[in-house]
Amino acid sequence: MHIPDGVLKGEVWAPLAAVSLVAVGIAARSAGKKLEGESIPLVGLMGAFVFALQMLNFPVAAGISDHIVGGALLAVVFGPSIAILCMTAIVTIQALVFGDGGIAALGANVFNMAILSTLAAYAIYRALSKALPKASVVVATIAGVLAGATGAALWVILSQPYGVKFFGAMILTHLVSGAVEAVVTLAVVQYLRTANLIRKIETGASNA
Amino acid sequence: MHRITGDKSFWGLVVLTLLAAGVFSYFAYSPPDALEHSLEHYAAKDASQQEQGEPVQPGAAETQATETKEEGYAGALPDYSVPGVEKPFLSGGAAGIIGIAATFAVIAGAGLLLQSRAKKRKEREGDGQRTRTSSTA
Repeated sequence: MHIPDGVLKGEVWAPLAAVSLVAVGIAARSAGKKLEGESIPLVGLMGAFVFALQMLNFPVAAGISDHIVGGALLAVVFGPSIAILCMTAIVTIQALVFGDGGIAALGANVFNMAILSTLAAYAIYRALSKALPKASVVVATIAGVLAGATGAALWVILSQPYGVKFFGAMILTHLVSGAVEAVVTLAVVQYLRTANLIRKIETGASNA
Repeated sequence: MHRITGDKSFWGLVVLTLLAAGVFSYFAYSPPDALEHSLEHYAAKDASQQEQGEPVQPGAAETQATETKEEGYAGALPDYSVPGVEKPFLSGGAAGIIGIAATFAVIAGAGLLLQSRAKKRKEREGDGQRTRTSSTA
């Protein structure tokens, strides 16, 4: 889902970079408070774990791969502000060190994968987790992936002559990768719940 | 609160992360990802058909997409490999380990900084309240 350079127009990537900068600033301030109740080694480890998972591309169709995003996992485990912070670090390192995702497109990629995807997943998780502790993780993850893909597709369509077919292909392929990611996210969340590594999972605490 | 680094399941996750980045990454499915694939295959097709009413030559879209991709900045470890390391398994594995180490370091560093800043902010607010109450007394 990493947009390379040369795809987005300046009128599209520049405002997205500005919005991302402000949003990450707000998240960072809020994460400072939240981090008092968390173990920093665990937050760093979960970020590194998501980075590693992102390297494991799997087939979504013949000749098409994809990888997990991970914002939903981090949001379910740590809440949205710490998740945004971790995802921003991951997406930035991928662009600067590994050339994965463009430099001009970094703000757009942070917006899609660190902010939009994470917040969409968290909103759904929060709304459903009390009633459906497991299904909420699945639905939230798929929604998060689709939100990120929709964002990416929209910025591309606003910049280049792409149309409905492109949008449809983005949604279909990410529906598949979102389903895979949902299974992975649920497995990891259940591992963390049973291992008691996370003392409480936000609103799902009573059901954990 | 127990020390997390004394926890067996914490170290289980450490091992899993190292294996994923250093070993399993070698077996990842290599074709273009969903976004790259969509960019390559649906580039300009819809629009040029609508605007000019004629089909584009096959391959035109691919060439365009590849060209834009190659213009980009590659980074110090391009495409998750260490330049100069011949064996793909070692090159990719080392790049993965560097990636997880960098991610851990950046997040933990930022986390410690933000945590201490939040603490200071709280202390300042506390001080402010105390000064206000003492001055009114």
